[in-house]
Amino acid sequence: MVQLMKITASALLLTFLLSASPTDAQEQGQATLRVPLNFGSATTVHLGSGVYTFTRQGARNIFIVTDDGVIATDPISPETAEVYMAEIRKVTDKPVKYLVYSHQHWDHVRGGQIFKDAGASVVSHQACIQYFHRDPNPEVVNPDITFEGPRYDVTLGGKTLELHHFGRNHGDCLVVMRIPEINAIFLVDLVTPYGVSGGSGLINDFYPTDWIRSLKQIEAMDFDYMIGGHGPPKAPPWAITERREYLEALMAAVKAELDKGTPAAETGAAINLPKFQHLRNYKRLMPLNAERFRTFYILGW
Amino acid sequence: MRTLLRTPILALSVMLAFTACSTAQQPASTATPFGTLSAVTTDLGDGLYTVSAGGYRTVFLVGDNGVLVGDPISTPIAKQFLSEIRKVTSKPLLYVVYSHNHWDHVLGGQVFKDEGAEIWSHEACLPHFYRNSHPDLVLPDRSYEQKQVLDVGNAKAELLYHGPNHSDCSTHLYFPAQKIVHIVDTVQPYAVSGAGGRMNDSYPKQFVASLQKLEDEVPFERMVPGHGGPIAPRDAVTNRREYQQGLLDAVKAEIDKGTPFGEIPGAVSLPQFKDLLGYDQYLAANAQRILIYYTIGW
Repeated sequence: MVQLMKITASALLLTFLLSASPTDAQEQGQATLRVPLNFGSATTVHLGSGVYTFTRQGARNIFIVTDDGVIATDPISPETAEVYMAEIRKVTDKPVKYLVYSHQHWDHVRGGQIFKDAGASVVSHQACIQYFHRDPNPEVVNPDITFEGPRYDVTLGGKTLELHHFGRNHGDCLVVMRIPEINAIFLVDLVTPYGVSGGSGLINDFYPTDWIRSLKQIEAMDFDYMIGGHGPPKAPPWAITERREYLEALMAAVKAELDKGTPAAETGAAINLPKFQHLRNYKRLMPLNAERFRTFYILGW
Repeated sequence: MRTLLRTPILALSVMLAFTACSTAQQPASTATPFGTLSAVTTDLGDGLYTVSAGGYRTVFLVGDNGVLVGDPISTPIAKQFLSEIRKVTSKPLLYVVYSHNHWDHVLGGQVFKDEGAEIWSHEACLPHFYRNSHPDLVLPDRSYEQKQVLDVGNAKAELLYHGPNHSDCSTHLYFPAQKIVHIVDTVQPYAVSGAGGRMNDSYPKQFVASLQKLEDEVPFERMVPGHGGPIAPRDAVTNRREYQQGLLDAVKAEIDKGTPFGEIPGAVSLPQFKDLLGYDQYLAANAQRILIYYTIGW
């Protein structure tokens, strides 16, 4: 329980990443937030059947140990990748054969080189490639294996990691990873449980209507719990429904204010969603979420 | 000088309208957040005109055979634009050129299509239009990849693509006879990035390369923006590119120094640009957008 609480605290802090004021940090008992982030110690949790989840500095991934090697996911950053690899080594000597990217954003996919050097093949959806070419980052290793279409299975040592692509939602190339051995999904950024949309609150590189459509498709998947790319190691399926319903309610409210002619600066304050006030960061970030949706309705983007 | 002075004032009012107060807004009668203003047309010479209404601006070129027009903006504004065009010529409308994909510039094309115009955009706009349709959005009839010349009879417009900047499908519409380029939203002359400051310049790094390419390849002398005053000197483009590069460098420097993340937007200062319109109000928001770029690569 202590461990769980610590993890949650890390997740809370993560949401202050881009927009935290010193006051926010003080409220959380943190003197400073530095880049790279230095909150929370690394933690690895065994979820069963050789499936583990690892978290450090607010970001989370998973790895699957099989008889023939390891399937790893998002390396996060060069520093975190080293700790991640060391955590894998505490559990098994078997080689890491695959490193699977959840999507293209640098806060999840930097640092793959040590896995590549150890012989792993890097896997992503084909649609990520355009971003890696457009904005090359020396810390991001280009994928060796890409796939097109809605589904690709990485199989190793009798275990499977299913990659499900639902088109555009958060970028164009995000995959939801289903792990049949534990009947769970690894879901990055589309849902961080129990909160409003975090980060800067500005919902960067999200496409609102596609996001909601994708969440409905994810809700229809077969799984017992989700592992978030940020947040606690396990969250119930209703965390996804709650996020979708929040987004739908907020979009409807923003549209109503726009139709009424409410000015941009007053839109956040004009909106009140009693059903969702319990969500983490509601008071601070909901108005910024609203700003993003207002832009969507004006620009179609 | 009078023109130059008027330009920033109008631009400021547009930016303020979008982000803060838009008390003039009358949602029942207008599809834009800028309220309703009567259309004003300016003659730029040799058949080129610019017309503005409701805080938005477009251009039209009159040739021997007909007319080419830029963004329709919205159905009510397109109607205003059409009546302004009709004050100048009765020739048929031949072409509409969308500046980019954002709805606040490209709705209402049916008004021109009904006059016989063929609608053009850069090809990268098409996926945006297919994915997010709007009842007042008319899909382009034709698209181009790098360059397209449209001739309206002894008068030409060049549709030029210089890569992602404010959007990934922005057309720089160049009029070689007048040496004037129409640039929508990527450059608002002598202003920081407005409209909230955080969202709209979607490709922070390519933004610089795109403007550099425009400056290197196109011998334009003046530009017509998509909001505000009618015309600005070439230097406005250089100034905007240098501001963008200054932002990228300043945010990177704060990251490298180890400035706490939450403090970076407020820590950035670009004194050489302090006279830009919206500097005090939007600099931190502009810096936050750059910070997001360095964090997630988008």
